Amino acid sequence: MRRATRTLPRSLLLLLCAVALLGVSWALFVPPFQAPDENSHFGYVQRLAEDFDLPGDSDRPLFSTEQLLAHDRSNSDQTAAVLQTKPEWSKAAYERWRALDARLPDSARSDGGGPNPASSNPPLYYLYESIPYLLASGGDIFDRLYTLRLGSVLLLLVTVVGAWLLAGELFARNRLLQLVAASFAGLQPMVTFISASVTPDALLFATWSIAFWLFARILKRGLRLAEGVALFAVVGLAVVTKGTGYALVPAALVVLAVGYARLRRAHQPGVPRRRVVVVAPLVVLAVIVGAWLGTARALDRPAVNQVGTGTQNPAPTLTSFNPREAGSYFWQYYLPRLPFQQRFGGMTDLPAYDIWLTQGWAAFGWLEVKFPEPVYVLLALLTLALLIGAVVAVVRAWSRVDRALAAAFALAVLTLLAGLHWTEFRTLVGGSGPFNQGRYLLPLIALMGAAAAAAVSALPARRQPVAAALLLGGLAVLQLASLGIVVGRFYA
Amino acid sequence: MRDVRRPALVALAAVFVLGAVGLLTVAALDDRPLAFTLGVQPAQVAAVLQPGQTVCQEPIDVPADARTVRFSVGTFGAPGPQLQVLTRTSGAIAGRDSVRAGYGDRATVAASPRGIVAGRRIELCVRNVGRRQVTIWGGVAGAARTSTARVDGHDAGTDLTLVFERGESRSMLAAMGDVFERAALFHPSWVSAGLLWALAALLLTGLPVALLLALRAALNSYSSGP
Repeated sequence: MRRATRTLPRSLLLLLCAVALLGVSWALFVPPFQAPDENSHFGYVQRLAEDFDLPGDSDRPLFSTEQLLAHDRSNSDQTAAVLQTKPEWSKAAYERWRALDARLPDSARSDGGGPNPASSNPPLYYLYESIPYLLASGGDIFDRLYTLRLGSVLLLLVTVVGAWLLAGELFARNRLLQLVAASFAGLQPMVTFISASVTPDALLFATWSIAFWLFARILKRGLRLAEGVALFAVVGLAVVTKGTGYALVPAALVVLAVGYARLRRAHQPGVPRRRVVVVAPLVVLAVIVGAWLGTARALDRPAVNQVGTGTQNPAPTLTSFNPREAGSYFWQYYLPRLPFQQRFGGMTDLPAYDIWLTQGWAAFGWLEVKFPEPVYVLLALLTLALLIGAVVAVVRAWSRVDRALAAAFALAVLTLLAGLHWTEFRTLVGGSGPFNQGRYLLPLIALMGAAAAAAVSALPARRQPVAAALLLGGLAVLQLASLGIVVGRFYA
Repeated sequence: MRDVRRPALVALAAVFVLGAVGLLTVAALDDRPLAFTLGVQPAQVAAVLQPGQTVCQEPIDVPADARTVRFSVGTFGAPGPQLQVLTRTSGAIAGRDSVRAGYGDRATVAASPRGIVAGRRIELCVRNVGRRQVTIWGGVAGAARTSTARVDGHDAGTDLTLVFERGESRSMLAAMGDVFERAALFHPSWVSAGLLWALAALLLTGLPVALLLALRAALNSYSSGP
């Protein structure tokens, strides 16, 4: 530990302390099961940890008796997504739950495992969370639930470290810009909230952040066996965390191909040009993903999370979709609907603002806890300013920008967006309604942090420290305000 | 070096202090009348009361003193009939109040019967004393699992949406003691209201200090070059 603190830069260490404090606060202030699908994710972990089995058996109840009792007595189901209702506040009701819970047989923990909404997810995050679950297995269900949340908070710290390392590669270890990038990743309230709940998204944010750092490291410093293997191991871990992880694969392949091509061109003595630097990473990816695909196939279960597309209309496929419909969908997602356009599916007005921006910044609980609208207008302006600043910084430094790295980042972003939009297009046409949620963009948080740092770097050198300070202070205040509206919604 | 660091540290501290003061001010002005609810969504008609009929939600364990109870009513488009609202403890009437006739369809009405006292187990009843039928809104049976709606003594298979409010106004800031007590329920055994107070204090003090020190450390290297 002492060695680790010696090697960690002091500013990163202090930032990690701040983020850990916030993560623990989010974990403890949010009532049980009041984060998106947290009930399902907990049920998955419980099934794995109690019986080392995957959920999804249609003959079993969705949740264990123990969990159903906890939902019921804490009023979590009634409270989810409905602002008018509150969690149970009565100490007497809590004591009655304790008495009932104490009388439950051991089997009450293991009689769940049915097809809950998370049951088709790959298992990596849930395997990871089985460790804190088992560590807290002597306690009641809330001991275990909150220990799992703290397990997720550790992943938040990995996300922050990934953003710090990525910025180190992009900005020549400029500590101020690294601090801005990592602070953005760790203090963005939606990232903290999600990463402090029980959800595979916490691991997804961490793996994507580390993968982006490895993209930069490989293309900046040259492809080496260790980095190549590490990158594809991380990409493999992202894939077996959630289907979204597949969106990293094309960009990782570009990094590998470009890295190898540069290696061959370099002809540096002592640098291995053997194909092993390409083959080994691919083998690692194949082993990790293949192990899961093989297991899923053997168990006759889906290998990626399933999204119901509805039954009103046949869902479009890549060979059968209507380009006009797709065009209308994209237009209405990012631009105001034109007078002659019909509302597409169940879309809201301008989802790019409503979903990506509003929910991406701050929508807590089951997304029902939000700030008053003017706060989102301010956040939109901040986002716009950071984006413009980042573009200015990139344009100014264009001659020094590694085009392959820029292409890899762009490919990862576009692949993620394409996957999300294609899925939503299918659900809208099929009739099951909108699919996207703001947090689905947050695997990109390390890149967003780098963009914020780039925006700061676009300012004159003497103004950068103050700009960084204002951003850090603003994010910290936004965190307090976010915790405040959460506490107000649930407990007052 | 000093001229690079100092304005930045002052800016961070100023933003945090101004922000924190602003948030505390908002909390001090944010009126929170809610005493407690049964946690039932107003999703459906929970009871149809013909003239003379009574619906009671029972039992209700009162976690905090309340003066007023609010509930949603349906009148089929006509002006609503007079309602009598009663609280009972151990079968005896503890308080009563009326809702005057003439309210609108899907209105939320309020009554202030006595007897909603912390620690008591009560029944809350609504009696239709008018000449037209009226509906009371609530949720499916089990929405409030420990409590049930009964119409003239028969299980209605539903729960009423009842919102209990305090007698006197109280700000969010003044409610923080209760807030942390509530937040500590259904949590791990090691989480108490005291721990949550300590966390809140750390957020207001430790968070800015950690960020200030992080910024200072980053600026030390910044000013001496990458």
